[in-house]
Amino acid sequence: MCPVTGSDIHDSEEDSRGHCFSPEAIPRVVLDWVQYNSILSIAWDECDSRGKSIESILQIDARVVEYEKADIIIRKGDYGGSVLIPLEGEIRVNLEESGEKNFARKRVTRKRSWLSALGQIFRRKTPVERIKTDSSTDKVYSSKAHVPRLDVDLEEYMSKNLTRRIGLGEICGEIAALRRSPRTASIFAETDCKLLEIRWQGVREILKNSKEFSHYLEDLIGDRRHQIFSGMKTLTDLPEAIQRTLSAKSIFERWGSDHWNRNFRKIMQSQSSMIDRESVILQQGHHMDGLYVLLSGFARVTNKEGSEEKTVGYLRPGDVYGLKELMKLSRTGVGSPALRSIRAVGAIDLVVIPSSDFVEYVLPELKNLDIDQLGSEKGLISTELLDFFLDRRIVNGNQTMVIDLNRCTDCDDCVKACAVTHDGNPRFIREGYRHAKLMVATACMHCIDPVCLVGCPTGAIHREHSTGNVVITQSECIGCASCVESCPYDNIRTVEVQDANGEAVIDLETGKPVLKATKCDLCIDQPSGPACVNACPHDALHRINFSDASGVSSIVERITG
Amino acid sequence: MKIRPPHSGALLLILIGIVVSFYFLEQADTTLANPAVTSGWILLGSFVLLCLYGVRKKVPFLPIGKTATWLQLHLGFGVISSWLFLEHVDYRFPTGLFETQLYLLYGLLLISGFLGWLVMRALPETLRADGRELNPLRIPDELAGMVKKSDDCIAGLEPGELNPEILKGYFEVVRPYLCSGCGFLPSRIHPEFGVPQSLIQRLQDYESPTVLFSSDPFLPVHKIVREKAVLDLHRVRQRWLRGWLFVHVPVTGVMVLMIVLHVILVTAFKAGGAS
Repeated sequence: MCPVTGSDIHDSEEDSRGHCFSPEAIPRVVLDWVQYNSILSIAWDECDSRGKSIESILQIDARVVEYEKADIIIRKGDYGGSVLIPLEGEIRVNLEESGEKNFARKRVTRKRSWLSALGQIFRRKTPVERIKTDSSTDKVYSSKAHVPRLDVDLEEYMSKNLTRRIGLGEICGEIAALRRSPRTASIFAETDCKLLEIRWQGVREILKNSKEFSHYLEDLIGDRRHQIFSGMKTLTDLPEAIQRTLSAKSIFERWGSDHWNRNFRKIMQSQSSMIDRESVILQQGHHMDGLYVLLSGFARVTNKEGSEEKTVGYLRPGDVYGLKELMKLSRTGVGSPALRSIRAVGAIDLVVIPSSDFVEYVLPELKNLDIDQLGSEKGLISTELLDFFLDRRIVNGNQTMVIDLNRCTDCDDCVKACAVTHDGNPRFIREGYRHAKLMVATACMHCIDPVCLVGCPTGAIHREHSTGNVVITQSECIGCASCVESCPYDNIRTVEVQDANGEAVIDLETGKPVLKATKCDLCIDQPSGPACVNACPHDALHRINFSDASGVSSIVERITG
Repeated sequence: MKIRPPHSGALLLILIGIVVSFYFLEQADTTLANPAVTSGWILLGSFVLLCLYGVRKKVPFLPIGKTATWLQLHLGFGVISSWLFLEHVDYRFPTGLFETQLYLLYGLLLISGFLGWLVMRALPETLRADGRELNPLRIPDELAGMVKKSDDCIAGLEPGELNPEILKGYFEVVRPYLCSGCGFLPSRIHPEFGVPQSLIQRLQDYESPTVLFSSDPFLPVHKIVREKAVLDLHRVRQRWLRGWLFVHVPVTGVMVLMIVLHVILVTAFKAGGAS
């Protein structure tokens, strides 16, 4: 484990920083500067008095990163689990949607070459997952970031697009880091600069130990929360002024518990009605007070039929509810009661844009196409299937593995393909929840709300910036099994680490084998993408993104006929 | 039993393949070339394409199209090759040992392939319909559990509770049935008792099945026997799903060797004839 205090770190061996954010300790001069000149100064004494110094937190969970002029530091829409504090130089946040095209990703994740992929066939198979323990191939650490650069004349770009400078010592990137949501704005380096990057585990520690910092961050998120509108599919085009007005007038609400996953398995075993356990956010027939926009988590949309509540749809982050009712209000001037009920599935954040503000600010900006999209209910899936997906929180998945049992011949070609691409050890189990002809296999779903990330002490399990896929950096995993415990779907496993001779690596202190977490990585480095999907000869295996309503309906329709 | 209809893409491919092959054969005819040679080379090409499907399955990580698409190509070329084979042999019966062997192997390959296509389209649905779906690796444990449960039922009976003939029937017929394999063909199930007809016939030597299966102490065992019958049917279906491959794949291997030999012989004779 990492040493606790910064001074200890300087004295310790270099390899003791193995699980820290950076292999290099934060220099004293930087710590001193942060203590007196950055926003962390408000938390410094409070944390010290509670016995958890910020210095020790930063030594474990922070690093200094250098960027060059025009470097893209944060790209809107990417996933990221850290906040940034400028130490030197200037950075700017882009505030105009039209400028975002300059930040578009030009290169996707590096894949294996065909030759290297073919080499996998001849690799020796190991009885259990083998993870390299030899670190000699690791890259030499450099604080210099190697990131894409804005391919424009920076001065001209800044004169044409609305941007704002982030002052030295200020904090940015907090919304995405703390909400596990995509970045809401792009940030670039105006000059060569140096930033302190703190991963969210560290921010959480500071929040835990400093009320003042916690209040500050809440206010800051409140002030910047208009940015959340720019992260949404159909409200993206709203001008910033309108976004700010809306965020000031809207009501932000939080429902349910953050730790819904902790007792989820027990609830599933109890077989009690899930609908009855969910908090009602909006009751059918009640006054419709505004447009409900889901920021995080999931909501169930139900319709009362007799005495029974029937599930008719679901909402995922970025989805809205209430457009039909509000359109009626705008056309006739008479408000319509809520046509459906909305219930919180797990923990959710939502914003309610009041009816009058919606009609005044949002409606004139929406195109007909947007209105149709926003008003449509998710797909044409039966109530039973929707209940199946929602009760088991399968809607959380961005890459849920669904198998058509009418086509599956149990040939296990998918499992074999997974094994071929992972040193002979498949990363999923071809068994799982079933509903009629459909089975949800025990494979990582790369969730939109990946609760497995929450407890990871080293940040080894994280989201890939560009795709949002949940991946594990093996060199950072300490095998604590926190992610295994947190995953409500049992999709992560721990395996014994083996050395080059195939011998289990034993922890000298405990005498037990060293473990590492492992799970489906969507064949991130394979030229073809997920090998399981490619390998199925009967087109029985699908990866479903539950955000894509039409995709879900078409696959479900094909399976259920 | 419902069979999923063939993929429209595969049907289109077959049509296009036949038209293109027909064009080449007609071309050969007009140029007075030997039609058997032309159809032979086209047949060899289609056979290579058929074999490539097996290779593709080994490299699921290469972005060369989904295996499902390759399977449709495989099926399409399978049908085309059968027509090409008939063209190649000029729609006549085989003469000579080597030719007969080629005919038989090709026929076996085609029939096993067609059967495979049928079972893969028809059986998955029935496998799931019986509610007894099990991983084949877990079936031995399941069977052992059944035998133990059944033995426990009999051991738990009070002395004299069961007719000695029934007990004898249990140990000589029912228990061996519970321990037995499932075979390759589904057993005929008695509509009233839900157990295999063959078992009832054997039990008749000990006790009337009507009396036996209505006897209260024997009811739990009857239930287990019914479960075994369903499980056996399930296992037979699982065997069929994989079994055809045990014919199709080895025959393909032998066929490849025979074709290579055939090409060498033809080329050698052609060279000899030319000289």
